Amino acid sequence: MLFELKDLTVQFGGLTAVNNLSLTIEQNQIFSLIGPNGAGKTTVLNAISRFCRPVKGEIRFEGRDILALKPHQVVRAGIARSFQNVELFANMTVMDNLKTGLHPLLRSGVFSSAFALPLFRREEREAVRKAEELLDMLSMRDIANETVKNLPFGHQKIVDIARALMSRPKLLLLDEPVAGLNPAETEKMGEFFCRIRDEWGITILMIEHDMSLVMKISDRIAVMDFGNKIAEGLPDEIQNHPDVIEAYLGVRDESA
Amino acid sequence: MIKNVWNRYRNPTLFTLLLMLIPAVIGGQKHLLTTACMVLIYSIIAMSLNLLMGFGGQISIGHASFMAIGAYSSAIFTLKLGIPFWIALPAAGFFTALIGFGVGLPAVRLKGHFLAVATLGFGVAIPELTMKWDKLTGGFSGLFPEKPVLFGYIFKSDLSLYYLIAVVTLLCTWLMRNLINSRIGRAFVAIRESEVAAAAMGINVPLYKALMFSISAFFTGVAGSLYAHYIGFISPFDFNIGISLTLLAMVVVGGFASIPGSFIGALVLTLIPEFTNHVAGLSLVVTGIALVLVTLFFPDGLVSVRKIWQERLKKRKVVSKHAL
Repeated sequence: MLFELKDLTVQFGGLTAVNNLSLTIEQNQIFSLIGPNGAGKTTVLNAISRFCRPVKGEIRFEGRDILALKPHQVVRAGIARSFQNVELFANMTVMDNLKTGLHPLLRSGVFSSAFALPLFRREEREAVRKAEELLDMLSMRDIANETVKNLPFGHQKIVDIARALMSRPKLLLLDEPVAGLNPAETEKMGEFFCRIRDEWGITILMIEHDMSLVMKISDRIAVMDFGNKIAEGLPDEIQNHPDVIEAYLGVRDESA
Repeated sequence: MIKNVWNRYRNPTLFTLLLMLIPAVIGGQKHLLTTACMVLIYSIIAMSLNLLMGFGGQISIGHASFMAIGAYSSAIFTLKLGIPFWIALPAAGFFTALIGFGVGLPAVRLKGHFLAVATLGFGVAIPELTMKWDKLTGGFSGLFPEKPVLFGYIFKSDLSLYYLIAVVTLLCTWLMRNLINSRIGRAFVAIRESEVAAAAMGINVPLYKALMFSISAFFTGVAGSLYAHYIGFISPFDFNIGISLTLLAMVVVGGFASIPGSFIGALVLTLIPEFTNHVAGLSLVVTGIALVLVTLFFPDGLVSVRKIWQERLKKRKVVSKHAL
């Protein structure tokens, strides 16, 4: 077991956004968290990234409680994330965005950077190499020096994910990674997620509304509605689960 | 291969040559050489303020106070403690950096207007402090720092002083350029662009904000030290809030997040008073008009003129191709 949520509860004022949620994610899984809008899925990711504080519950990663960590320490622990609405550094190039994703792994301090000491030069070369390797995998090498804000939304989404991958996290949190992508791009991203799971051994916790992608690549799925987990299981089980159908489509009115 | 090397070193080489040749161009005109020295000193400060504002997205309305701390600490180190100039110069920088870190701590919690007011308070307080603490600072009558001495050589002539300032300027520029292109600089820009994403990338946002102030203060302190030993006299009036606002104007006129822009800004705002001081009050009017015009027509600063020009040329080429 790589990652575990135990009785996680998050409240905003009087509203309970996440209610007693428990999840277990095994190594090398693609775990999808689905549910209607407002179900509290993004809040779960924000709680894991330490952007909001749960009122109750535990978040355990590799056996250690990460609730004590500050937001910037989460990535060092091995958990990286992408954002629903793309939180890129818009005025930076793609390359610089990716290099920034490597921040926690680089060690050059103020002095070695300012005087361009060998450590700094070596690390910069290494950073460029890693970024290029990732861009090659995504066949986006040609846009390395473009400013991010000039890119189409689909490319921005991919850069957002690539940036999170730069630090080679053990657990990758994806918040609607293919929203706004066309079917061809979606298919390519799906293949890419499977590839990083299999080749790099990265575990993925993904929020996504695109059911065909979710059903195709997920190893396990949990469904949330109004802050509660209403179902969990294999893709086949979820597809035919009565509570899930009810949450998405509503209850059939038997009297009609 | 040779072309790559040339591309990489072209700008630094040309810039170094330019700075080295300026005295030859100016010839014997002493007041122009003085102006050149002031432009370089203010360029260092404009660059360091730009590091904070243009790259880091923070604001400081009291930056002349860091200059004051650098100038006074360097003067006090040399005059009262007998420390040689070549140690006092970086020591003044480090001392100012320490103060800068302290000033940066409120920046961790304050944003936008609130940070502006807090740094404004700092900008007003330090000149006042140097005025009142006359045992240490000489109060109204100021201090008379000695001319720089390096390994027994006294920088007495204007020409030798110019070259000293030019070398320190080049060194500061090189250091800042390296910093901007490092993980530290990327972290600064990341904080400017999105604090949430910066934190998610593992950047310790509060620490880096304080660090930004500290690094900016370091270079401003070094420039303050140069100023003190170059002019040979410092008083609280040299670092008042008016100077702070001029420094701010240099960054805006030159261009945010640009090293060449900082030089252009410092050049323009040093030259304007130089050429308009024969009529009382005229320089303020011209400065004001220049600021309005630049922000109106070149919101990215004067440094963007070249880019705008290139784009216009490109368009014209495209148009003429279509005409054929």
